[in-house]
Amino acid sequence: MIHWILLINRQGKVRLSKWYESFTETERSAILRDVQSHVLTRSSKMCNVVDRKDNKIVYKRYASLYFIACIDADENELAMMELLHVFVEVLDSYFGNVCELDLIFHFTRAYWILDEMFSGGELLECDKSAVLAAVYSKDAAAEPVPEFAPKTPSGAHVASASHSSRHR
Amino acid sequence: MFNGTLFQQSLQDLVKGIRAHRRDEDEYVRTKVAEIAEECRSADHAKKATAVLKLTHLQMMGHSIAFASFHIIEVMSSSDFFSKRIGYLAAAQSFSPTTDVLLLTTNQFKKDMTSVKMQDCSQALTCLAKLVTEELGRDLESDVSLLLNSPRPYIRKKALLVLYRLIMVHPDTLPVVSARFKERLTDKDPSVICAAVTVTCELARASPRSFLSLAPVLYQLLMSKDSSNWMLIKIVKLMGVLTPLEPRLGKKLVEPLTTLMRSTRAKSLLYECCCTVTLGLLSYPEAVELCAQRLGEFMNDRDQNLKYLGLLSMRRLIQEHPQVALEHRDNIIDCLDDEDIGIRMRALELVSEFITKRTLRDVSRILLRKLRKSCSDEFAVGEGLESGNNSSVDDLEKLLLSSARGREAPYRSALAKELLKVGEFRRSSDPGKRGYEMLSTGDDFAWYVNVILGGLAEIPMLPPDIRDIVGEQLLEITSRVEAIRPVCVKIALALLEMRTGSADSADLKRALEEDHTEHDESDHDSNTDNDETVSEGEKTQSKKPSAFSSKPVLSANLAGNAAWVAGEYAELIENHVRACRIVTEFPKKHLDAAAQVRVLTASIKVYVSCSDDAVDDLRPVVLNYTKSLLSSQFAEVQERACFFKAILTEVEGSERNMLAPLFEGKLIPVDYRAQSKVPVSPDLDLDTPLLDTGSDSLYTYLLKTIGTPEDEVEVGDDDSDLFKEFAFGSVTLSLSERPIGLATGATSSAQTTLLNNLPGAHDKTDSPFYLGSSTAKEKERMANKAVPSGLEEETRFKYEAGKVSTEAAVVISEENPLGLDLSDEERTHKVSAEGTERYDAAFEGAFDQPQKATASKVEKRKKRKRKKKKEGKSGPKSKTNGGVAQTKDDQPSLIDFDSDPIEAEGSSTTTAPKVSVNLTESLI
Repeated sequence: MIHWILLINRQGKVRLSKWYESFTETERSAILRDVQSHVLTRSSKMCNVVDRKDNKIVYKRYASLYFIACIDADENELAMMELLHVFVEVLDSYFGNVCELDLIFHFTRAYWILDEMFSGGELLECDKSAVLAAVYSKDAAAEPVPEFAPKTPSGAHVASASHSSRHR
Repeated sequence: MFNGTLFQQSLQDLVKGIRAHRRDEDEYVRTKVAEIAEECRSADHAKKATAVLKLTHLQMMGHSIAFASFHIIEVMSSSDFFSKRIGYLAAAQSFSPTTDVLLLTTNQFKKDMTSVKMQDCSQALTCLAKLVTEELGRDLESDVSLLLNSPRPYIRKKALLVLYRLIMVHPDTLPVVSARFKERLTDKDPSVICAAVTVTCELARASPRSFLSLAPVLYQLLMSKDSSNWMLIKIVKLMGVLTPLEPRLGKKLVEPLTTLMRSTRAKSLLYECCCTVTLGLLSYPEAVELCAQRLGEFMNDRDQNLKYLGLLSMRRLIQEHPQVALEHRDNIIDCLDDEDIGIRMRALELVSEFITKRTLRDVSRILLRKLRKSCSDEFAVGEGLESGNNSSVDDLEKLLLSSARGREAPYRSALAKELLKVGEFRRSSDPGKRGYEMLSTGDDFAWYVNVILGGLAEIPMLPPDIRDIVGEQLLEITSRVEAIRPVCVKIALALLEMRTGSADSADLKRALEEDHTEHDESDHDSNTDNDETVSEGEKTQSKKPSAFSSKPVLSANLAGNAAWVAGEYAELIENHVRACRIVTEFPKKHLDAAAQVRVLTASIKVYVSCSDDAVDDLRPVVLNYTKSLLSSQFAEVQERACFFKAILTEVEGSERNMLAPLFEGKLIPVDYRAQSKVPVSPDLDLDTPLLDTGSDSLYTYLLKTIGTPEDEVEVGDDDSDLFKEFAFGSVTLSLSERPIGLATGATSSAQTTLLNNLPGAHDKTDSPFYLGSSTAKEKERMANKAVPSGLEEETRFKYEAGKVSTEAAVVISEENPLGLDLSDEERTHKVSAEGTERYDAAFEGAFDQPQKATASKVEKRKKRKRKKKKEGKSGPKSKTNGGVAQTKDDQPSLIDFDSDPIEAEGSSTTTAPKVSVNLTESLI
């Protein structure tokens, strides 16, 4: 399972933190320190997997942001990297060319998107359009005029239609 | 909608505000938190929701928002989905199993999960997946399992994942839901199947046996054409867990897995297949071959991740199929040059797998070269760091450099340990497997001592523990392998000389080289390499002389061991005058007492064994050295120096040979378990107490004897009494060693006797611990003679470096460090076994006999529920109150709540008004 997912920028500022296990305040800050010293200092030529105690940290860097996830040692690292990439892609289509500022000012939306992909540390949905469709439908329920809506009217349709599409 | 929100700071404003107050962020946040706390108490839903939203942001920034837990629940229970969504997010982010208001959420979860609105249900499920505790799980399991049959695939999928977390905290749920759960594996909707497979996979890791019965369904899914890659990954992983339990499954798996490995283009799936092969299909050559081929491609790939993972799984493969390692040998060695230390470490793990007698020297040479290179690289970095002080290197870059510097250390340690593995003496009850596996001829040993031990000792940046191992091995090999003692003595002297300051490292190089050519004439390869590395090493040396000379490169232990080797086999020394000079000039600044004693003893030994014509030259040198140690800060060194000085003065002018008997006879390696071979004398009575204390505890008895008034010491206190008895338990031991202590004691002197007998206050030379840490030569000799039965088979016994005396050996065998380790291990085994037992018990037969198991479990659960109901009526309420009362004490008063009592209009829980009153009361 996934133990936590963190979004951290190069300066070490947290942009999103999702803890799928209950960590104490001190554990969280210890993890954060570890990540800052072990992940942010890695050069681009190094591999994206770092051992941490019994678990593994998998990360991907997009511009100034690091997407970092901690998974069990026997979990598939490559698959986790792919999932992080799917998450970024979803963010990108949702915000439209996503940048760090989007995540700063709309951090709740990033969480809601994440919640449509993972639940309790397990993968819920890896299909990009299905995730988007779920988020859009909730936005519609929450806001009379959703701030972020599908770009084209057919977008929503496509999204819901591909709900069951494969990812092969 | 014209309400307070107009004047309320929005989340965006808060974020901007924080960004604008970089300098005094904490101060700013504090004022904002006070503001938000005020807003939380507002009657307006939207305002409250925004306040909670802002708090969620602050929580993410690392601020505690525990004070607002109740307000979060209020927002969660809002009927407006906009607020509800915020509330659930805040709860998922900030609540923990210890949050006391968590119990208040049960009803809210129930309500939302049965709601007709899909989004309410979904939000509740998402939050529950994070928060579920055993208590919540028990109350909500029926609701969650009902949702497994929801008409909406989306809800079914979410409920499955919640169920997984629920089962993990409350395993009894599984038998109840197993039938419904199994249905989901054959759901119409592929994403639901995928979720079900994911959950099965996770659960099976806790207790694989219970899930064997699901194998046919999973196998069908594996063969199905329209399974998604993610699901295939999970199924393949699951199969890897199940195959070791069911061999027939492996046979069926070979074909589909190899097909997948040939056809799939997804690297993650390919990797998973390889992992499964390394876990469960190692006996199928077809799969193994393909797997090795694919992993080889991974290792060759330019993508660092594939390289890393390839090496990782390759290791498991190699353990069963060592020939694979040889095929990929060059590939693996190339990975040792990688920029990423993680990759290098993995590659190093593999390298150890293909070290054989034949390849030993080649591989070791490569490793040693890598180690030297890593060190010299580090110096380049270090220089960059230092010169960067006044130039344009900025802080971040410096940080990167220094972290890169520290990060190399474990790699070097691992490399060195790998090299040193060869020189480990292997113990085994089977004589065939005992001894040095890789080293057999004298030539081998000479090579090892020269190239590896000498080579490692001279590398400046190794950590002390590696140096200690080098020292121990030098000592052990010297005493075990008689044939190479001359070489060892030479090396030991070269090592000591290297650090005297008078000689530069070139001396050692020369010594090493000489020996090398002597013993390795046949091996041209290693010879040339030696030259090469020497020049490399010299480059490093000349590059940074200050760093070398300022640091004690020879650890105290290594220096002590080298000195011991040189002294003990002093008759093998070629030039005693030079040796004596080396030993006596060795700087003692960084040595501890034990090492200083060893060096001192070594100097005397060298003196004693020298030839007649050198005696006159050496006498003053040794005498001066001894005198210089008379004022040593260590009592042991002083004592030894006094002793030797007295002897040297005594024999002044007379024949030197008078001293020879001092060190007569050779030390023989003694196994630390040798004590067990000494037969116990039949008239040894360990049961009769030496001191008849009557009915009193020893402590009371001693007090009486000493005559201290009891009331002063408060013997009455149970705990302290117990403790004291414990403390005096060791006195009993000491007493048995020297029975005179108390028995003779007049009341007045009894106090002092007691103190003297306390451990630690001993005359140190009598304490076994004292011997354990030093090499008191005379005692060793005596001890050796005293335990003849331990010497029967010389090779059988390990010469415990640094713990040479049998007395020390006895202590060790009594403490039995090995045994302790074992029991530790056992304990962890036990613990983990208990952990899985819990699941095993719950999962057992969950799928095999759903009918029976479920029925009985359901019955049990019903009983429990009924019981709960009985207790229940007053239960929750009192609990709530208790919980809130606790809040009162626990809450840090972040905010000044000296305003009106909260109006709890918007809350739906009945206990709310009471709670709010409590809150205000408590915090004022």
